[in-house]
Amino acid sequence: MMIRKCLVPSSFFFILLSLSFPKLALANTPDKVGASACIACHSDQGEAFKKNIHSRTFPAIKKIAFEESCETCHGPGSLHMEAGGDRSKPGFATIKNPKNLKGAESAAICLQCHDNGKRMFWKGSQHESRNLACVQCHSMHSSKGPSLLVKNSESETCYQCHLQRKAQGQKSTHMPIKEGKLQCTSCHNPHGSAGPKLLAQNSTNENCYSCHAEKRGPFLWDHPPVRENCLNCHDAHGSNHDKLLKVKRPRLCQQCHNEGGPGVHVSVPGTPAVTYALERACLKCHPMIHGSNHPQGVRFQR
Amino acid sequence: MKMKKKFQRASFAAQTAATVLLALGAAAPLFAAMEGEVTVTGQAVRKDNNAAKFEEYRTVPEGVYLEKLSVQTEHEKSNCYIDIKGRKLGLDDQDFALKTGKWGLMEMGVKYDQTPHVYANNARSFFVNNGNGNFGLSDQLQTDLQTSTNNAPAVFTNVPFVPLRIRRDTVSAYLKLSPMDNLRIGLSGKQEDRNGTKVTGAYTPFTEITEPIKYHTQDVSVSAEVNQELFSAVLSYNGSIFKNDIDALTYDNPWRLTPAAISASGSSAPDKVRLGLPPDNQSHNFTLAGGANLPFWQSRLNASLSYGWTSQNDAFLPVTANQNIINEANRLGVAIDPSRPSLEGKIKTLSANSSLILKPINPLTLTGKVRYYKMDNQTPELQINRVRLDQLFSTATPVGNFNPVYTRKSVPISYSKLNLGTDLSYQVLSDLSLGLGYEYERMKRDNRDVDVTKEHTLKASLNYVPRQWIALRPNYLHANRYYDVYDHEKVEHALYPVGEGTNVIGTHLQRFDQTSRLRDVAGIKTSIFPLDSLTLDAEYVYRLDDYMGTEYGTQKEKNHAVSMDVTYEPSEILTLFGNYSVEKTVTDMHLRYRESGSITKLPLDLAANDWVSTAEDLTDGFGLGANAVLIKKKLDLDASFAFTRSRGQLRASNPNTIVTDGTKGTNTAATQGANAVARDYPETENETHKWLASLKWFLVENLTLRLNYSYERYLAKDYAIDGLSVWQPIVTDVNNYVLNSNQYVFLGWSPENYDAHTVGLSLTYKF
Repeated sequence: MMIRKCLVPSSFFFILLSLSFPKLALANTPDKVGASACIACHSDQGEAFKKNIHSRTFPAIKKIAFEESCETCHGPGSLHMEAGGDRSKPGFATIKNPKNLKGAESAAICLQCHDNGKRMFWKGSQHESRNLACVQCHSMHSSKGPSLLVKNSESETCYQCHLQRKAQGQKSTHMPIKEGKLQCTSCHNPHGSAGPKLLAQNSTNENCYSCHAEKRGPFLWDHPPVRENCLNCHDAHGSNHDKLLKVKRPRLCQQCHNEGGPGVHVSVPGTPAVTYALERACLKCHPMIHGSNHPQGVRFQR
Repeated sequence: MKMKKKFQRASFAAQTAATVLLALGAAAPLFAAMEGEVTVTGQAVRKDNNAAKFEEYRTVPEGVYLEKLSVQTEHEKSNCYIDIKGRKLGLDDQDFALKTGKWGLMEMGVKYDQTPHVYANNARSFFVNNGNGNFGLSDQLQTDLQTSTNNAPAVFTNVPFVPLRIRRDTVSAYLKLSPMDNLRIGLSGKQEDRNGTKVTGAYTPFTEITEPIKYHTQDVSVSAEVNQELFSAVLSYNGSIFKNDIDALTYDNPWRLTPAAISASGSSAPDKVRLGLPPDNQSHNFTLAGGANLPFWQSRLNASLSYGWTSQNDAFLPVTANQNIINEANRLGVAIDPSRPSLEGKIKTLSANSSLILKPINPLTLTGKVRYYKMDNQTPELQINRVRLDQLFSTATPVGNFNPVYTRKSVPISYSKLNLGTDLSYQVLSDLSLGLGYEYERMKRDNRDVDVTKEHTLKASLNYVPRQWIALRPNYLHANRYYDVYDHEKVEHALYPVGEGTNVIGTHLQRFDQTSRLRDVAGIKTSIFPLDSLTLDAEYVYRLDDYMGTEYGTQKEKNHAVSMDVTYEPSEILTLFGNYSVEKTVTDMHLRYRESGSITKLPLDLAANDWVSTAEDLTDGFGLGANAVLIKKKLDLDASFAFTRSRGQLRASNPNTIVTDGTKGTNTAATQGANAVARDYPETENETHKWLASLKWFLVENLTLRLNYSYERYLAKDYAIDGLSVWQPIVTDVNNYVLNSNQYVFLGWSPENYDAHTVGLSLTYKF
């Protein structure tokens, strides 16, 4: 009896509660407030955004008025605004700050517009699978370099994570990256690519040929490891040896050549002053090591 | 002369800046919102020599120059804009870019860039460039040396300097159109000219010479991209045409004015030598690529298909520059010319890729990948009666001077590679995610020692963020590559179609790019932010390649690298930063000294004459720096120091007692013994030091004065090039032991050490 008495009012309470739930949920859904309201507190970000390319492209390409700009990326801000800067209020955190989101969630904001062009292969790329967010390399409000980069240059941006590459770039033989004549993106597409190692081309050699077209051949006499992969002998990121070689000559060549045929020389350990070690070592007599088109260039001597 | 050049440069820079600003000034009514900056720098440089390394890829000018120019302007109503950027205008390493367009509709631009590459300023040569790749020597010089090499020291005096440097001049243009919201069209073209002089070598005998570079490369690309809500696709074409203005390098033999008569063994020292230079070629490539978001599991499918070809059909050069050899071949009726006039070379490439990314449940991401790449060399084979060198067409006892076994056949190198892989990423806990992966690679080669290699790779990684201020990312990779059959002789048989008889190939050596290999790579990256003001990033990488399939050749390659970066910002006005790195690479090799035999002597091929070698490179570097605001909005100071030191060692030893045998091999027992001795090479070293200090004074809102000072130092030690002279006579060690009895003509260059101080005063105006 007692239970029945309680059941009726409690059922009534829960019915009322369930009816009011959508209204409660609605009350917790933020609305858009417009950029003017955002700038009232975040004037620095607002001013920086006005200088940002997005302030031009939003209206021109996406037909997004300036007033809608902030909330296009950060989401509706009414609850955040109502929190009045008090982080303890639940509404404060309803605004999306890409820096505080997980990589995929953060990237999803940018990919609303940028899932094309060079970002076409972002999903499934090495950087995406490591949960990187766009804002780790780009900054909408405080960029220092080109392409809204967080650092002064592309290489500095990449070196944030790729510390070994930064160190290799300081070696005595290096690509002209620190001189500003090449960028990491001269070879790689950090947003994902169909090629290996995020290369912009389909293979390592095709990548190298884009600057070294003279090595493309085909030659009458191909040097097989050269035709297959330039990285068999070279380290593109920096080396202690000239020509970005991985090992000092003549040992580089002796890694594969230990024949004792006519001339014997390749099997000789040699003294530092022997012909095969001085100056360009083996390449003094075999200068066409990348391939020869001379009818008699089988040993890359001509 | 130097002053005149400086004045011309300053004048050019001023004229360029004035022209750009005047043009923009004229357009000012149309483009009301204009901003930009101009930096003019006056600079003095003091260095102890003209070391090439100091300006390897750059120009460090003395005097006044336009360091930077940038102008951006736009017309708000029409959404049109112009963006101009230039650096070091008028200098060797200048670049300039202009782009203009209308937001959302189109953009077009042009770029111009010059990139120098200076190899040496201290090379010297008597060779006179007669144009088109022909280099000559005075008849008197050749006569003197032909008469006696004892005349060489007198001949090789006051040899003139020749610059070893090239420069790439690149001009490019592009146009991007968006005629509709979901359609983008791109067109671009690039012309690159490479001009200058490099060093090359030639076997006559051991002469180092200059190679003139006159390369032209033209690239063009066209693309059309469609973007819909669920998918994107792009179709593109890339074409590239390479042209070398100089087909051959022909130079006089310092040792002979006239070619020597043909000897009984078939040699004739030539009066000149000819080398083939890179031939013209062209490449074309079509690509269709796309990605689609699938309507389940937040999945995406990416795919691309690319087909291309490269062709080369330059006319072959004459087989030799030695008229005596040609005459002798004609006399004997031996055909030495190739059977067709050019290569008819063609390589076709096919690349197909696909990846599928699935998120069946929120914390789980699955990726599957397939990749196929084929490089199909369709160049027809060519069999040639070999003329080994311009001075030699036979070394063995010939059959009528020409030895018919010296026949070679070109064999085209092709390969295909299939990669299948899958990756799994799972968010185990809110602060821990796990990545696992597997990849299979099958590589099929034509005309190599191994037809097929297969490789299985397992990968694992963690991303652990235990606290907001620390992230740890360890990773590990293990790969096992193996082959079906390693056939040492297959390619040799193809190359030497009628056999050679005396060529002893190291049958126990398997080449590192084809043999079995175990690869282990382990590493960890960490980012630590113990304080808001302190950031520490560190990385450790260890890689071991164990070529366990081969007894000789490369055995192991190990690489350790530790790198650290730290940034500390104790206040808004001060940032301190530093870095440290060390990298060590060790390559172990096992080889054998061998002597070839002759008709009357067996080859000398004994395990006792094995030698082992270790190539070790160690590089360490560190840097420190600070950015300080001395007076807020008035005076900033930036200072940094960077240091890198590299050391290289080639160590070698004989594990056994050397065995000589006068009854075997072509050399005497004494020579065999001397040849077989393995010894350490001297250590190579290089160091770079760089101090930078920059004081910025913000005079007024738009005007900044900057005082720069830099000190750069480079030290290098390399036994292979240090102390070489243009005429390099017999080399002896400290005990007068003759290490090398050959005589060389070098260019006598080396990368010189330098100490350089640079002081500059810059004025930047922002508008």
